[in-house]
Amino acid sequence: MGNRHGDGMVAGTQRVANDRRVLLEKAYENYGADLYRYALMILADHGAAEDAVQQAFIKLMKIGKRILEIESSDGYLRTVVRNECYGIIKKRQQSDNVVKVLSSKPILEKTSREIIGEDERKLIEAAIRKLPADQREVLHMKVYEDKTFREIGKMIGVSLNTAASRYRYAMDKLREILVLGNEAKGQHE
Amino acid sequence: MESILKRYRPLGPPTELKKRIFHPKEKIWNRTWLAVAASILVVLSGGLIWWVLPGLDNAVNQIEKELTFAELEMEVNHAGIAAGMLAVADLFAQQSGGEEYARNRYLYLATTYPKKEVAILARLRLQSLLERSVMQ
Repeated sequence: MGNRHGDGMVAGTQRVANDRRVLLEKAYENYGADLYRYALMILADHGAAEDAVQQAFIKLMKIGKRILEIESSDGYLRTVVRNECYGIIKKRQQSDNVVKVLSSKPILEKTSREIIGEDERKLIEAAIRKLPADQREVLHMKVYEDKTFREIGKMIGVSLNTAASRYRYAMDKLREILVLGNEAKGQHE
Repeated sequence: MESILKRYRPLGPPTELKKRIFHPKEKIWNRTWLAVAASILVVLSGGLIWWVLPGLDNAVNQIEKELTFAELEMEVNHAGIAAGMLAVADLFAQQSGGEEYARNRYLYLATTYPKKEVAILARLRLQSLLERSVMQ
């Protein structure tokens, strides 16, 4: 009798775990690509972005109660991935969060049908890599996810003004590097 | 600036990332299987060596014994030849005019078998012949 009850519990737990896995797989199918791009822009490195997303989902598989939140929106998922990204950055022990080692694998792909030289992509990528992670993050959310500064601030836990400032500093720096051909030397630090 | 950036977008995830996240056990299973196969191979190899090695050892011992017997045989043969030569030299030493031949034979035995008993006997015989020739 006791064994049957125990077996039932084990089977039930297994069923719940499988359901959780199925839900998370569905969440990955819905949001995985966007989360990866988000992580990639923060970390500017494919290997690190893969690790961040993988670790985030593995952690989510271990929790049960918040599965409905995961299913309903990407906000919670983004927070988990973001935490993983900044954890990786912290581990890198870089003083100013700028990616010093340039990864050979491109992080951008062309979306326009215009004939654009490969050089432009490389220049833009190199300039983006020079930005601090927090500026890259806001840049990505504004330019590639079309979010407002209010939404960005709410998602990453900063004020609207802070989000807007980070975006402005990022754009100024990119402009200096790409348009004027100069590197900003801590002007906005 | 924004329009330039919008000509691009960040790259998406690799296709195998989903499999790594949701089906990692397959890889672990493969690794486990490889580890088990490697262990079995090591045990089998060790067993094979353990089984073959005593046979190899016996074969080497057998070869060593045969070498020792061959050496002994050679020693006995040489001793026989040397003893025969000594006996012949002794006969010649007792005959008149045979001393020269006897002297050569004793000298040969002393130099060819320096560490053997026959060499000691040959040197003694040689000394005796020299003393005899001096007295004469």
